[in-house]
Amino acid sequence: MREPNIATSATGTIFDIQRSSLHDGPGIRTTVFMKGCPLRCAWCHNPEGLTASPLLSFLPEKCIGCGRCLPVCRPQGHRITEGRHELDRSKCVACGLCARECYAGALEMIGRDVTVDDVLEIVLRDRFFYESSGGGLTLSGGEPLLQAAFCKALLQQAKQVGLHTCVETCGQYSYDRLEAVAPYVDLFLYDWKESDTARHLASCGAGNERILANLRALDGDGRRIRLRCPIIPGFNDRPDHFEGIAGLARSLHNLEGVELLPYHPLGVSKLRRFGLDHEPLPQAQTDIPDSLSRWVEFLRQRGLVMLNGL
Amino acid sequence: MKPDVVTSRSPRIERLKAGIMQRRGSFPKHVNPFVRAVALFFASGNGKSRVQIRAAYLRELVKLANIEIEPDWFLAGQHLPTAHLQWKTPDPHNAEHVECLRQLGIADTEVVKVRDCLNHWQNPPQCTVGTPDPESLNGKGFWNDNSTCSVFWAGGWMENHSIRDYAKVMRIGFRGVRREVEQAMAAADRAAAGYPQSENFWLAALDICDAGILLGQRYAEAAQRLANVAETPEEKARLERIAERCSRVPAEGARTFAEAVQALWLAHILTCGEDGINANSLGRLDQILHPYYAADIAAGRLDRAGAVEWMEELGCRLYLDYDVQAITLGGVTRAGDDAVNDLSYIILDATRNLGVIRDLSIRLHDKSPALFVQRSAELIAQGGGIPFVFNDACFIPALSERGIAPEDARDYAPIGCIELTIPGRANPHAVSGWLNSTKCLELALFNGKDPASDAQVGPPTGALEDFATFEDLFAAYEKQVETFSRNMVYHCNRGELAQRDGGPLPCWSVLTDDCIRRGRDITDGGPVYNYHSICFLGAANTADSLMALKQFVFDEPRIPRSELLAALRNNFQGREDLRQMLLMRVPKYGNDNPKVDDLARRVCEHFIAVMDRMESPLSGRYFVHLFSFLCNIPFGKSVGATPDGRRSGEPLAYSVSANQGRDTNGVTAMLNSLARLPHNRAAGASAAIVEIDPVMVAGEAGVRTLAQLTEAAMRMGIGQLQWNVTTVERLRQAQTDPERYGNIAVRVAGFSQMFKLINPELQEHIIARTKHRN
Repeated sequence: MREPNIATSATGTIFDIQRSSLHDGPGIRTTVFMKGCPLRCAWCHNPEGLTASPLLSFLPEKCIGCGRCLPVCRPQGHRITEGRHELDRSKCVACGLCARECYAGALEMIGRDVTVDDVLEIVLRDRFFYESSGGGLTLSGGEPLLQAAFCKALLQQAKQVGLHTCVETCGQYSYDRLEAVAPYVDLFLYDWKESDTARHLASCGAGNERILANLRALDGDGRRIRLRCPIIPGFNDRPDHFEGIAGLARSLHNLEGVELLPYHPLGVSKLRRFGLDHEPLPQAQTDIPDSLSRWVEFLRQRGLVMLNGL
Repeated sequence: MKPDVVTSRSPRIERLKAGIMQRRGSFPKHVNPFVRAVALFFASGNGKSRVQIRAAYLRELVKLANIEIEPDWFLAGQHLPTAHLQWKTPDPHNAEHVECLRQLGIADTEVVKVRDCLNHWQNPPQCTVGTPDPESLNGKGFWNDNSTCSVFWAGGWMENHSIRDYAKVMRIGFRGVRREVEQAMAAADRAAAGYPQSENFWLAALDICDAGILLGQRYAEAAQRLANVAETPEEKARLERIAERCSRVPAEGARTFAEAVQALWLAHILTCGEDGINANSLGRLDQILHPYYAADIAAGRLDRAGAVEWMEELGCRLYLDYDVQAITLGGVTRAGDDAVNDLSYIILDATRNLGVIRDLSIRLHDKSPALFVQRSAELIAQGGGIPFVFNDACFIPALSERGIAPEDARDYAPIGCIELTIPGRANPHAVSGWLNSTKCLELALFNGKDPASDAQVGPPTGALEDFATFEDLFAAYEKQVETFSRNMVYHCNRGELAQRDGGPLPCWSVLTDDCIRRGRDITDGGPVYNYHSICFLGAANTADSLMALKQFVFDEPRIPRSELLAALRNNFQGREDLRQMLLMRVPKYGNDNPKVDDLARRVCEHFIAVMDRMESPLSGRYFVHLFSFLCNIPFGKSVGATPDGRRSGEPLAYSVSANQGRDTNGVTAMLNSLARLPHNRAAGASAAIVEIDPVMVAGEAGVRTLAQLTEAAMRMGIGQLQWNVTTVERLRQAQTDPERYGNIAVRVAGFSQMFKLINPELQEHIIARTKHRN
């Protein structure tokens, strides 16, 4: 195998570390959510991961009107009139000074720079639970491999202390990023959102060719893979897409199984907090009962190993 | 071995369950309201002592009780009137009263004597423990409903928090126990200094044994009478079998599983007839019933399904809306081997099948079978909050390091909610006293004065402005705790003596070693182990508050002390910014932050060390419950605003859980925090309710996760866990539409209950504690 040409980096930008995760790989895990994503999926449920740099979250209903944010904001982006707090985002430089003064948590910076040691210190606290459950560390995002150098350093360290590692990835980047981290990853949670590349382009901002090529290359390198396929009502809940999943899955050699993810409209409510002008999915299309179990059954009938509920 | 799960519930059990829930327990339909008064009247007189009257009262109650053999039941027996009927004083001028008494064999002219007898009993002459010195500080800080300075509560008087030796009743029957009493009397030296005192107890003990023998006889006779006129052969057979069983037990030892269950239930009725049902518990049911089960299986008299049905029927018999009659499964044997057996699984199956909220616990140790953990997790995942989990690795050492012999420590079982006892060998004085640690911290900030009333409640240990270092503050806190602990122990000790004089419990004594051999009542030095267990309240709030003070007053002094004290006095009015700062910018217990968790450990360890130095008059020790029951709510009302951002009067945290809503880092972080506390020194048990989203434990994978989390928690040294599988959304739904959704069971405080039966204030507390989805 060719020596990966990506160095390691001791710092990265994350937006959350979630402990007690049960749906990001086997067992009880700690998931590190990293900032930045090359795709722009219409249904994105973690919009705080879209941008690479930190951004300000604002929840006016948490504001207690103390006014501590006003004097620290040099561009004067905050205004409180008659108890109503307004934020002029055009002035915001994401310096984070206002959030530091906001004890009530109405203003919060999403995204912070951390070192490998910072992350591992938290991750290792739940070692006991990993051992009893077969869990470990999962990198997610955003797209973690946009920060491949940091991921590599973190995963290297994690393997050195004996943790099980997963990377959840969208596959939209050059293959050397995958190559760089692969030796330190026990299991890839590889997203497959749409079998039709034109539709993929329309709803995610890019076609699926590169994603597919990277998936096949990863499989060719003998890496363990789980396919993760979100069911997005009105976008990809079509038999031809799921036939596509079935065909793809059967063609892979190192596939552990397929996991379908139900759609949560959570991202829609988050968008408002970040002032992102991302087009949310129409609500009417979000609630289709039994769709998860129907599609699981659909794929199971086509001979696939389904990991839902396992 | 992989025992099959028996899932079916017979239509008969369905009917029993429906009937018992409608009647809200195993209570007779018709009860004469004066039956207790008349039993007491018959029992009194002839120069009898108090313990003798109490024993004779139980015997008379058995004589007078309305014996009803209900249709469908195989397990006979309804509670005696003490369990559910208040004392009622007859009025000789009331014709209705006179008629009721006539039905109990009281002549009209004697009604006045019954009344006087009851008045005399309820207002006895002063016992040896009088009122305390009014000039002393001893009463200050004693719990009072309307007070802002409730620092402690003390009882020292213990009823019905027990596990009595039902195994002995099954083994030798009340006739066998009677022989033990007779032998003890015969062997004693009449001239020995202690003989008159022992004789006093032994005579009472004989009446208890006779009451037990009589109870079975009366059910046998009633069943036989009905059998004689039964209309169908099936009905005749059912009644004859009841008659046969009850003519054998509990007078003699049980020979079969069915007889053992019948003996257990009648012994339980008798026990509850003495001092009420409440927390009279059954203990290690899988252990004490196992010899009979094994013999029946070997002889082909019983199959697994049959045993499950008996356990379902027992579950129906035990049903109460508020049920704290604890049953415990698993753990280690007295010799230290794994104790899980077939019956452990059978009782889990029966509890799940029955679908009512039973007070069920499991004990785990490092060699508990994985299957047992998994089956228990399946039941927990159903959401009723049962079974709760106890860790042998914590409590066996905690008990044995405090004077309990190792084989007895291995036999421990919880009573009621979580309180530990040694079945058949102890008077644990469960929840004998309560200490409000957060109130102690509040007093330490205000020089021993209650900020709400300005009264000098505790010793003057300096005000916040006076402390040079955090350690000075902590020393003041410790001084407050020690002062009130001593007052509390003083009152517990008075209670212990008062009960020796005024509240002997001969039935409990007869079923507890070594009361018979020593000739002493359980309240008078009879039991092998006599100790008091004290609840420690507010550990999380005290730790969170200390952390805030340490951080913002001492380490990086950003809040002027006078400003903080003023904000606390004013309940943060106009200082919401300060409250948010204290709330949001200081680590909180329950999030796996060693700094604050170690403060929680430190306050718990301090209190345990204080209690380890205390003694009771009857050579008892003081153990600690890291447990609040529901009293975190009333005691919270007496604590003003605290430096953790808690507002005045808000509830304290439950037991050693995080303050409601403050554990935000996930369940593993909460467990890591819990693991930092000294569970292995809390000989009265610790308690924590940990909320878990139903989504996390859904399906086979969820059950596996729950089992893994539970096993990990045990290995980390967490003493006790109560999983509450629910969400805020689900509880709000139950609140707004109790008819449709109110039947969901939730963990309340060491017990589970149907949500709709809980009062609105408590509902709000539970909701505040519970996690939102996502």
